[in-house]
Order: sequence, then structure tokens, then C-alpha cells
Amino acid sequence: MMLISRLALAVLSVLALARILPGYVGQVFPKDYETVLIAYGADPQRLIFKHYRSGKWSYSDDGGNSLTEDEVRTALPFAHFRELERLGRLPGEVAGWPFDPEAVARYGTRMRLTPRQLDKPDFSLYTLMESEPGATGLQVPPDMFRMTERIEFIDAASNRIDEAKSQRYNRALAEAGFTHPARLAGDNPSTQKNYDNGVLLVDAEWRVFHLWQVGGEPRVARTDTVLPPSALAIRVLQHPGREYHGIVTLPDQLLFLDWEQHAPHRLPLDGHLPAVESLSVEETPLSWEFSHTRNETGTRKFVLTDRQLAPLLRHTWHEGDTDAGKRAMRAKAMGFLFPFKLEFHIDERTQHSLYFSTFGAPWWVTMAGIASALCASILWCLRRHGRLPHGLDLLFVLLTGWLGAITLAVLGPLMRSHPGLPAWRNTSPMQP
Amino acid sequence: MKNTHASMAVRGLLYKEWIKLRYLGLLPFALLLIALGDSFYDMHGLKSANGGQALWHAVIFRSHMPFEPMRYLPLSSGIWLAAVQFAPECLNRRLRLFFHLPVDEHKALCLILGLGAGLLSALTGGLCLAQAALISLFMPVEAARLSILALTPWCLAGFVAYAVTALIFIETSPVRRLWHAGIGAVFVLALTDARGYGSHVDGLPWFGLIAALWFAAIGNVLERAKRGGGS
Repeated sequence: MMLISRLALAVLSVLALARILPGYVGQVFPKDYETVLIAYGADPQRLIFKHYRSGKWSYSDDGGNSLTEDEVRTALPFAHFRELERLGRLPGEVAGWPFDPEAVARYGTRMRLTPRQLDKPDFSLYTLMESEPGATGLQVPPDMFRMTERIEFIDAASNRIDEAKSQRYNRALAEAGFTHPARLAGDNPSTQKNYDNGVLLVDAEWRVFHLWQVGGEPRVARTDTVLPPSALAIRVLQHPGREYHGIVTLPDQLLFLDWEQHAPHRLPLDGHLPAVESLSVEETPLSWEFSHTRNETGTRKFVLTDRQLAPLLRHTWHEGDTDAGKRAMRAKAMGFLFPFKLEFHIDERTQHSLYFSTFGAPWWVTMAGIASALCASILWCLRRHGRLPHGLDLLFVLLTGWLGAITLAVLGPLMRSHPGLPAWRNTSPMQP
Repeated sequence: MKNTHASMAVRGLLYKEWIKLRYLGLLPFALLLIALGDSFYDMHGLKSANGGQALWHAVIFRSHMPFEPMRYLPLSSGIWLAAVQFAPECLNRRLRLFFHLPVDEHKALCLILGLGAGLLSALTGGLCLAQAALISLFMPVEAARLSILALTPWCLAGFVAYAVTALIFIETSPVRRLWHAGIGAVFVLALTDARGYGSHVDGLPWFGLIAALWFAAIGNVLERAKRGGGS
């Protein structure tokens, strides 16, 4: 029992060190890596790179030419049309398309999809607004609904189920062929939008349904779209252009649901994994631009498509050799000192848990670090206790490297190698 | 005869714990009542002033926590209860007396820890149930469920803090006391620093295991204190 107790404290110590030490040691290494945003300039046709490093922006094109901020504004008239309008420098046409600020605003969707949106815990309560609100405009509804074995509207004022409304909506869903319980639901509770596009529901058979409230009454659209059971999320879109109703997230791809028939259209992304990569979507009247990246990888993938999502151009940006070298050096040094690190919270997740990871160092660097920790542990034991460490202590250091060696130096050995010596002697490590 | 002695010793230990906890052990429960009252009036005030919609939207879309003042209640209660139980046993080298009881010191330690953890369980259980009941008065059951999940890591922080405080009192080396405090702070901060509902749902089993490990770790420190104490 005592061994288990000692192991418990040693394991807790290693976990805490794996949480603290890599963070502090990592501060030694510079973090001024370059990040980049990519956009497409339609006239003349070229990629524009917005480089960010150490709090400063710089700009260039795919020919390697440096650009000023003003030149970027001119090269990307769709993204900067408000500024150009203020300056009185709106172009007459772009790539043969007569420039229309109203159309640019209508087809100027910008979205950012992040992995954090997928694991965010929710209340499983959804809002359904009045889709034809008339003169009053969009308002926060007085109730919310839940999807269980039926749809239930709960009135916020009384905190009671509105049976009459629930029955009306249940009837409408049943008539449309909806099978409970719902697998997924996607609403948009914001009132800061041009119109309300209701709620997208996925029934027990993974068929997509669209529910609106029109004049207080339910309107349900049963679609022919049946999602695979691996679908992770569905979101309703309310873009001014009214080309797509929603977006569906699958483990390895994203689908737009079109306006006419809710038919799925796969986004032509290169190996995008929504659970670990963030995606930026920018729409212009001429094209769609998609760009996705993963934290601390030094790469970004860009895809330009036409309005029908057919790919026109693909580009992968890699960070420069200097940054890659700095990243590799940091990985080697950290990998030598620590075989792993522990984080309770990572950028890609909303959930606080135990996230173990390595530093991406070559295996021989990690092994060299562990070997040095073993040597240090043996020397410490010989000097401090006048004997070799027990096999269990060596195994512990073998598995945990310097983290385990430091722990045993402070707490004492897990096992005594000589029966005459007490394990975990009651002496401070600072004493001789 | 030996059993009778042991039984008397256990009853003596229980009586000693009763004397230590009968007044001071009630303080966390008094604070709990105040915090529950604060939570009720927070929700009631928001609903009275702006309607049920405003309360729902504050909670669901802006992650407003009416029970925010309870964030550090289990944590401080854990430290307080451990201090009340172990300070009289450990200060001024009185821990040596602990090893001369007619009952095994590890059983005695388990008894003391069991009482403290039981009291903390009653406090945290009462906190979760009472808060869920309060939220259910104003909001759907989904909100009550998620509020329990938001409170659970704070409650676990209370158990970690209790075990770490006990460990610090039993430990005889100042360096190791600092070590235990630092290591414990890492886990306590991990459990209490999150904002928003349900942020620890996936990690709760792991953090529960960590809390259990802290309790398991106390035994060997007592054993070491016994050896160092020259018993």
C-alpha cells in the first residue's frame, strides 16, 4: 500500500511538472513566427499575402513583390470596398465585372469555423424566431424549444411548456415525416441579421429538415438530403446572398446545403480536418476563398473556387527556413528536456481535460534526454544515499525523463535498494 | 480485551473530531446558505427587472453564472476543514502523539480523512442539489443539469485542496511542504479557472482520479513522518 501511496504522489508531481516546466522553459525560445493571411486579387490575377510578425503587418504578392497597404486595398477591392468608397476610389470594373457596391455587400460573406465550435457544451435549447416579423423586425422570441421524443416549446416568463404550440409544431413535423429524436439541430439566435432562416434539424434517420415560424405557424421542409451518421454539426446560414441554407460538418469535409433543394455541395478543401483545423471563408461576387490552417504547423492551405464551388486555384504556404529552423531547434531542446508535456486547456478545444503531447523532436533526442536524466538520477542517488537506485526508480525515470528525476530528487526514492535504508527518508533534499 | 481498547480508541477519536468540528465545521455550511441566497436573488432580480427572457439569454448565450460566488466555496471549505482537523494534531510536533494511539495510525488517519471528506461531500452535494433546484425554479432542466456540471470541478477542487492541506500539515520537511503546495495549486487552478458552463465535462473522470490520488498519497507521508519522528 505504501508503494501505491508513494507512486501516487510521484505521479501527481510529474503531472504538475509536465504542466509547469515546459511553459517556463519554452519562454526562453523566441516566438516571433510569421503567420500569413492569403487573399486573391482578381484584377490583375494574383495572390496577396498579408504577413504578420511581432505585431507588424507587411504585404506581398505571389511574385514576391512587396506591397504597401494602399496597394493591397486596391488589389483587393471586394474586401476593402468600404474604405475605397470613402476614399472615392471604387473601381469601375473588376476582371470584366461592373463593380456594384450593393452586390459586393450582398455577396460578401465572411465566416470562420474553428474546432472549438464542435466540442462546445450547449444547453440543447434552441430559438425559433418569426421569419416574417413585419414592421417590428427580428425580436428575441419569448420561448425556446428542446428536441426530445417530441418538440417542446418552453415559455421563458413562466418556465412552463407551451403545450398548444408544442402540439402544433409536433403535428407539422409529423406530417413532414420527421422521426424523433433529432440527431442534430442548428439555430441562429442573433437578431443582428437581415432575415431569419429558421432552424435546421436532422432526424433520427439523419434526414435534414428545415423548420421556420411564419406568422406564428410552423412551416417544415423535408429535404432529400440524408447525412452520414458521422455528421458532427449543422449550422443554419443567413447570408444576404441567399445561396446556401446551411453548412454541415463531417469529420473530414464540409458541405454547403444549397438554397433551392438543400442539396449538399462538398467544399473542395485539401485534407481539411474540422476537428483540428480552423477555416476562413470569404465570398466575393466572383468567387469563394477558403483558407485553413492548424496551430503551430507553419503551413496554410488556400483554395479559390468559382461561384459554383469548382476549384480554380490552390496554394499551400509554408513558413520560411528561418522560422522552420527556429521551430526545429525549440522542438529538439524541449524534447531533450521533457519527453512530454501536459496541458489542461488547448486552443482547439473548449473542454478542460488532460492533454498530453510531445514536442515533435526526433526520437533520438528524446532518448538522449532520458539517458541524461537516468545518469543524473544515478549520480544523485550515489551522492545522496551512497547506493544505486532501485530498479523501480530507474523505470520511473525511464518513463518520465527529467520530470521524474527532479521528482525523485525532491521526494526521495520510490523503493529502497538496500533493506537497511528507509525509503523516502525524512530528510530535506537541501540537507547534506 | 484488545478489541475493546481499539473500539474505545476509535470512539475517542470520533469524539475528538466531534469537538474539533462541531462549531468550526459549520462555517462552510453557513457560507453555503449565504451563497445560495445570493444566487437566488441574482436570478430573481434579473427576472423581475427584465423578464424571464433576459435571464435565459444571459445564462444560455452569455454564460452568466448566478452561482459565480460559489466558485471558491468548496476550495476554501476544503482548506478550512483540513486545517480545523489537522492543525491541532500536527502543530508543535504533536503528530508524535498520533503514533502512540492504541489504534493503527493509518486507520486513525483514514477515520479522520473519512470524516472530513464526508463533511465536504455533504457540503458539495448540498451545494449542487440546492443550486440545481434553484435554477429549476427559473429555467428548464437542461440549465440545471449544466449548472451541476459547472459546479462539479469546483467541488473536486475542494477535495484536492482538503487532501493537499492535510498533506502539508502532516509533512515535516519545509521544502516538501512547499512542493506539495505548489503541485496542489496546479490542479486546483486547473479546476477553478475555467469560465462558462460544462467546460470540464470530458475531463471530469481524470480530475476525479487525480483527487483520489491525492488522498492515496497521504499515507506514505504519514509513514515518513513516523520514521522521521523516531517512533
